[in-house]
Amino acid sequence: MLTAFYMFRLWYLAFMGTSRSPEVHPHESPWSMRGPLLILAALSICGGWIWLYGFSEFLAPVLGARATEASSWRLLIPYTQYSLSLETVLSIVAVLVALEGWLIADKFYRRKPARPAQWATAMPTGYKLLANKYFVDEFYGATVVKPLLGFSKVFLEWVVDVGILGGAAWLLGGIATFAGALLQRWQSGNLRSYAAWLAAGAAAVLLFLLVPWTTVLAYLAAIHLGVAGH
Amino acid sequence: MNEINNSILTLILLLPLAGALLVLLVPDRAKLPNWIALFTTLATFGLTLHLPAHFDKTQTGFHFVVNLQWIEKPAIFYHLGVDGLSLWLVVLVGLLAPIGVVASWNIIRERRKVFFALFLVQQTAMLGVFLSLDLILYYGFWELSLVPMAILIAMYGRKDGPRAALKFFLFTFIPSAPLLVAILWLYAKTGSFDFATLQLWIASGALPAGALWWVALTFLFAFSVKVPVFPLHGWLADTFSEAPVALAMVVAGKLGLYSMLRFHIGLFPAQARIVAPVLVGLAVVGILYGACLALVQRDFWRLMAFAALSHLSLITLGIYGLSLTGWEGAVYQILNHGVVDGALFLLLGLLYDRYRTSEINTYGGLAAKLPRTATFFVFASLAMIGLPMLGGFVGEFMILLGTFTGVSKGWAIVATLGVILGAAYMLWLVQRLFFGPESKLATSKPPDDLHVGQLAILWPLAALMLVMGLAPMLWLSTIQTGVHPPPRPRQAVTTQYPVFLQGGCAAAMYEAPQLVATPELAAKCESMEEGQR
Repeated sequence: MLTAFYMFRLWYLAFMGTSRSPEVHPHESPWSMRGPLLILAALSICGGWIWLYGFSEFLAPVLGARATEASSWRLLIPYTQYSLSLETVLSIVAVLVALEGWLIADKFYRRKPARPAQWATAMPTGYKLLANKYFVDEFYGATVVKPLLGFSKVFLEWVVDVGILGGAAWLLGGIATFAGALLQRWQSGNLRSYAAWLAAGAAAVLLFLLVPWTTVLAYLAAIHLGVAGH
Repeated sequence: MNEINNSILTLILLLPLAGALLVLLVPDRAKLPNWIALFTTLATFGLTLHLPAHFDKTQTGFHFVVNLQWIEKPAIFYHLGVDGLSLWLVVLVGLLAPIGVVASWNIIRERRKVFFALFLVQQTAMLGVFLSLDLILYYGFWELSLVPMAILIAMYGRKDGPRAALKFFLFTFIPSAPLLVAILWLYAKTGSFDFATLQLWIASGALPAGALWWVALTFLFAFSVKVPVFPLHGWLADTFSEAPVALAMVVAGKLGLYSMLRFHIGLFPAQARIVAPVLVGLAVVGILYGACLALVQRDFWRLMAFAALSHLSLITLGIYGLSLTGWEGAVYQILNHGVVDGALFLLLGLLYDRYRTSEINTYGGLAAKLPRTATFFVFASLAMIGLPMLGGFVGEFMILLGTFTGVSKGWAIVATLGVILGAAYMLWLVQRLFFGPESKLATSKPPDDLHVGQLAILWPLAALMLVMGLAPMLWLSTIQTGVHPPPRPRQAVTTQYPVFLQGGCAAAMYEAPQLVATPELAAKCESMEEGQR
C-alpha cells in the first residue's frame, strides 16, 4: 500500500497539476530512451502472470535442493493443497491494497492538495524526521566524516607530515645546503688563501712525520697506567 | 628468430637512447623533437611486445638472456634477461612512454629538445633497471633514472621546481650511495656482481651473517625511499606537484617495488623474512595515512601523490606478506596502477594546462562542458578504486586475500578500510571537479574536449583496464612463471620453492606467509633452515 502511495504521489507531482517550474520546457524523450522503456513496460505487465510456484525450484542449482525446499512456501502451504483459487485470492487482495494506496495518493495530491502541508504542520516532529531521512546522514557526518577529516587535516597533515616528517626533510636539505655553502667558501679562487691552506697542510704532514708517535703514545700510556696504579 | 631473441633486449634498451641522440642532433623546429620522441617510444613499445609474444611459459628462469663480459677486472658483465616478474613491467614502461609523449605534446612549449632527449634517456634507465642481472649494471641504470628526472623537475617545475628537484634528488640519492657500498661489499666477498651467483653465495651461508644483515637493510632502505614506503615519502607530494605530467606518471612505484621483489627478497630471503613484519606494519600505516591525507588535500596533484602512497603501500603489503598470491597480486597491481595512473595523469595534465590551476575547489560542473574528459576520468577513477570487472579489483583482491590468509586477518581488515577510503577520496574528487554547480572556471573558457591524439591513447587504456579486470589470466599466467614453482619440477624437491628464490632459505621462505603472525611457525622455519644448511 505504501509503495502504491509513494509511486502515485511521485506520478501526480511529476505529471499532473500545474507546472511548478515554468522556466524549464519539458520534452518527450528520444527513441533511444523510449525503446528500452517500452520493452521494460511490456515486461513489467507480464511479470505478474508468473505462476506462484514457478520459481520455487529456480535457485536450487545454487542453494541446493534442500535449502530451497526448506525455505520455500511448501512448509507453509503443502504442495498438495495448492490450488488456483489461493493464488487468485491473494492476487485480488494485493491489487485491492494497492488500489487503496492509489486512492490515498489521489486524495492527497489531486483532490485536496493542501492536505499534505496541513499534516506536516500538525505533526512537525514526525515530518522533520522523515524529511531529513531519519538524520542518518547527519549522524554519520558528525560521528565519522567530520572527525576523520579533522584528524587527517590537523594531526596527520599539519603535525605529522608537515611538522615531523617535513621538518626532518628540511633538516636534511638544510645540512646539504649549509655544507655546500661552507665548501663553496673553500673554493674562493683566491691564490693567497690556497697558498695558506697548502702551507697548513704541509705543516700537518710534517708534524705527522717528525713527531715520534710511538714514543709519545707509549709515554701517554705509561702516565695513564701510572695513574691507574695509584 | 633466434637472432632476434638474442638481441631483442639490447635493442629495447638502446632504442630510446638512440632516439635521444637523434633529438639532440635535429633542429628544434615545428615539433620535430615531439615526433621523433613519439616514433621512438612507439617503436620501443612495439619491440617490448615481442617479449610476451615469444615468452616460453613452460620454462621458469630468465629468458632472452644476453651475457657478455664487459670489463674483466672488476668482473662486470653486460647481463640482461627477463622472467615472469619483470616481463610485463618492461612492457608497461614501453606502453607508458608514448602516453608520456602525448601528455607533454602541447604542455612542453620551450626547450623541447632538452625535454624529449632527457625523457628518452629516462626510458632507457628504467628499462635497464628491469632488465639488468648484473648488480653494477643495475646500479648504473638505477642512478641514471634519477638524473633526468631531477633536471626536468628543476627546469619545468610549475611553481618552485628547483626546490622540489633538490628534495627529490636528496631523498633518492642519499640512500643510493650506501646501496653502492653494499654492492661493492658483496663483490669484495664473492668476486661477482652476477645476480644468480650472489644468490647462491648468500644462500650458502658462507658470508658473515651480521654484515649480511646490514647489507640487506641497505638494499631495503634504498628501495623503500624510491617506492616510497611510509615514513620516507617526503619527496612524493612535492615531486608530483612540480614534475611534468609525463614524468610524474612514471616516477613512483615500479622501480622500487620491483627491486624489493628481485633484489631484496630475491637476494636476501632470510633477512627479508625478519624485517617483513615491520614492513607489513608500515605498509598498512601507509595505506591509511595516504588515504586520510588524500581526503584533505586541496590540490589535485598532492591528492594524487597521497593516493599513490596509499596504493603503493598496498602493493608493499602484498610483497612483504610473503605469500605467492600476494606476490602475483603485487606485480599485477603494479601493472594496473601504471595504466590507471597514466590515464588519470594525462587527464589532469590537460585540465591543468587549460585552466592553469590545480586547486580542486575552483573547479566544478565541468562534466557538461567536457563530457569525454569527465567520462574517461570517472572510468579511470573506478578502475583505481577497484570496481569489480576493472583491473584494480583483481590486484587489490589478490593482495588482500594473500594478506588475509597468509599474514593476519587484522592487518587485512585494516588495509581494506584504506581501500574504502580510496573510493571516498576519488569519488569526492570526481564530484568536485566535474559535477555540482558550474564554476567560474568552467565558464571562463570555451569548451574544448579531448582531441583525436588523446582519444587514441585513452580508448586503448580504458579497454585495457576492462580487459585486465575481465581476463587477468592473460597476464597472471606469465607472472606466475616468475613466482610459482614450475608445475612439474625438474629436480626432485620435497618443498616447492618460489622460483625467484633459489637460495637456501627458500624452503623457509615458502612457509613464510604464516610466520609473520605465529611464533611456532617461525621456530619451524628456523629448523627447516638449519636442516637445509
